[in-house]
Amino acid sequence: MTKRFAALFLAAAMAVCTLTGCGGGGNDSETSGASETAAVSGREDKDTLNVVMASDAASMDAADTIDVYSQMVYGNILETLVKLDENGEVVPNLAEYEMLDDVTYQFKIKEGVKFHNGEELKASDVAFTIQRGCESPVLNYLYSEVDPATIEVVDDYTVKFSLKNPSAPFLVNMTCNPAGIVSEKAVTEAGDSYNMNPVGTGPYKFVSWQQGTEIRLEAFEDYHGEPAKIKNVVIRPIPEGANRTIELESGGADIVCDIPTTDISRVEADANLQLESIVSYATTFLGFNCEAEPFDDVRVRQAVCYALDYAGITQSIMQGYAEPATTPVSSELLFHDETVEHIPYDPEKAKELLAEAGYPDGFEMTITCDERKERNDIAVIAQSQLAEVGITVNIEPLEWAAFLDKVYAGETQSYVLGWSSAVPDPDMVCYSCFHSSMIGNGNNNVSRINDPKIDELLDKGRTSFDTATREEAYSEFYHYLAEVVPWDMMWVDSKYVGLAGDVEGFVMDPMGSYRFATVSFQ
Amino acid sequence: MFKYIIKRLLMLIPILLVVTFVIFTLLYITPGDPAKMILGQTATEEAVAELRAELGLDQPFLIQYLNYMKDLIFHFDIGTSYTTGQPVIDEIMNCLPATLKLALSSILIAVVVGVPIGVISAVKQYSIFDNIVMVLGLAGISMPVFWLGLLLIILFSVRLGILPASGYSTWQQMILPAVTLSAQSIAVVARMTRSSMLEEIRKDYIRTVRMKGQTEMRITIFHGLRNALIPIVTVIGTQFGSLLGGAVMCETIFSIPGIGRLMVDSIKTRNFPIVQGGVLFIAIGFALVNLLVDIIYAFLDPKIKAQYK
Repeated sequence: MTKRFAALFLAAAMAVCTLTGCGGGGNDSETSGASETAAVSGREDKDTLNVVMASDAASMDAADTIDVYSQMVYGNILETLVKLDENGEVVPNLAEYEMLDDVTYQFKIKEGVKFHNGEELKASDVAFTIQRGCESPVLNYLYSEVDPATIEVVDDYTVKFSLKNPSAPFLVNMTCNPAGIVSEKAVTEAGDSYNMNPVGTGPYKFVSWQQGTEIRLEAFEDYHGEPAKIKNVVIRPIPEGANRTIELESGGADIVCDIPTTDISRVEADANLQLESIVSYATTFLGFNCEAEPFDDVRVRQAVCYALDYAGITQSIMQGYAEPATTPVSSELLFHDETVEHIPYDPEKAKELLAEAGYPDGFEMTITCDERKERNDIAVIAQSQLAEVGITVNIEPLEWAAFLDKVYAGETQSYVLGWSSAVPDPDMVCYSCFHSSMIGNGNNNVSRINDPKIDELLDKGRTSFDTATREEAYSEFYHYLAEVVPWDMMWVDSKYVGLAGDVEGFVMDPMGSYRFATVSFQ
Repeated sequence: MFKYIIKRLLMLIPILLVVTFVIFTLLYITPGDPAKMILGQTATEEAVAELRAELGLDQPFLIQYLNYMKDLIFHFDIGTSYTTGQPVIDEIMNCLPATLKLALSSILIAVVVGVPIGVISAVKQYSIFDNIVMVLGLAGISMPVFWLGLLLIILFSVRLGILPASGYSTWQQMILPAVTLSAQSIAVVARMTRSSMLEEIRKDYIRTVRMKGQTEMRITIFHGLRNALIPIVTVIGTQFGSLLGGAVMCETIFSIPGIGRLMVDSIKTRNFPIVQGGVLFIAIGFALVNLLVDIIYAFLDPKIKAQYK
């Protein structure tokens, strides 16, 4: 009887494996074959672009949320006053701008621009949007320098306002999706339901949102610029990474955002698909609490950096799909300095520094991390590499919200975290994460580094309008930071997007907030 | 019977009171600040404090609980989603069709496939069919839903290209998730049917019926199965109850916006009203399914019906 059971079980297992192809090697080619079938069968509907992203939007209102998935949707619906050109320069979009003095900005709005509800864009809409931004806690990072009392509608097409202090990154920040101009009438009329009914001036207008299922957009006929090439866009959230790739392979999606690392080579190898990638604005690092022992001593922080092979860790966890990082900002951000060097892997030097700092036999520390696999992996590898220099590591994995609570309360010794800039200017990340005024009270300097030199350089970078001066300030800041190491940098994330073979005109975005107006089918 | 149903419905009230208190307490002591989660890392402490006050999260635990219960009892209001600002009941109702569709189709497959398999297995005990079914049943119970789901997607969507890999709007889209989710239920129902039938068909009255010259088919279905149904119905009810709230993995794999996924997403973002509303909904669902099972007992067994007063 036992033999019969065993035989039956093996037969059943073999049948399942044969049908689904558990044998790794043949997988790629056969999968390619399947998508070839889908591609060869021809595209029936050239009027609809099917997009898949990793999560549903949280809200359609920029004043509510700045998460990347919501931004991807409202970024196609709303437009900003200014935009960045391909050289990273701020150029007019909905308006021409003029600086009347160090703190006063005047915007002259393009005439004849229509909102999706048929209303014409007026200065009052811009004033309303900026006023709303000043009142939104979510948009604090964009509008905190604007003095709301100074917002003035000069005429139908002119608006001006002043900042509380000179701010060099302000105009760059105004190019971000959450600074998109909304229709005053639409917001007022919709009230609390505006977050489900956005109205902007963008190339696509909002049609419907079935939460968790799909968001539909339609090309706006009265768009003032180059019209969208594909009439309809359907955006679906698929949280499971493997399933997103399968949607692309089986022809269910034309654009799939966030291809998981494990599937990148498969998409790349498939002749019927395209893989696009870009270095993102997000970095991942091991942070230290510089206020608490033993990491209040810079030598101990440096010792940990010497003991960790950051490039090796990056390679083994990200499988070559991320760049090792040397600064807290991505190479895609303005004023990035490629000459900055990471502390090299040198366990002997680490031991020397530990002895110098009074820890010749090492010490015990805790690394706190959230449940994301790659962040856990950093902690695990760090545990084994630090053991070589006598440091005993305890790993404390926490669920995301609990993790944030602990890190922001300064209750961790060290932590694995990622940080993504919401703007192309380095000021946002650098100032909020390293300036001493940002320690505690829920602010973002969670490494709690308090260094007058850092403050001075960051103030210079924020207040100077001279590009060369800013570049110099940030360069000095990055070099100095690589010495005092409040963060041991690991890697800069990359974004990977899979496209169907006949999709063209898609442009990558380091924030992962993609536009679809330029996309078409061959 | 009617009195019994009313009595059972009234008994729901204390159960739900306990459920609300337990879930409220658990969420209260869970680390993580909903206001911080909503506003994100760029918000100032003042803004977070303001939002906490607006949401009533700065109040002591008992006040928060009493306010919640007051709204629930006097206004049938289970709150508003922290993230979308929509009433919780609307959010749950948006997810309900997907969950019901998935749970009903899965349980239907489980019954249609599981019961006949169990009956045949019992009648043909220790046959090759019985052995295969028992091995597959073991595999069905042991196989993680996410793994089976991915295998089916690879086979039917990628390799054969005959079924869509995600969604729930069309009947074609429902096939893979329903089959995936029903695998475990089929196994449970089949195994329970088999053991219940085995017990029944060995009883004396079956022998008597057989001696009276009834056909085997009639003996099995009208005598054996009917009397074996009570534990089977119980298992089907329990399975259906858990499918109402416990299909998270299946919903995630197949991108179905059901109640399970809504609740898991809400736990991550500390969207407490949705979690509380979801748990309340699942508790009510479970209690109603149990009541339905008890009512079905009455139709299956007159002795039980006589006890319902």
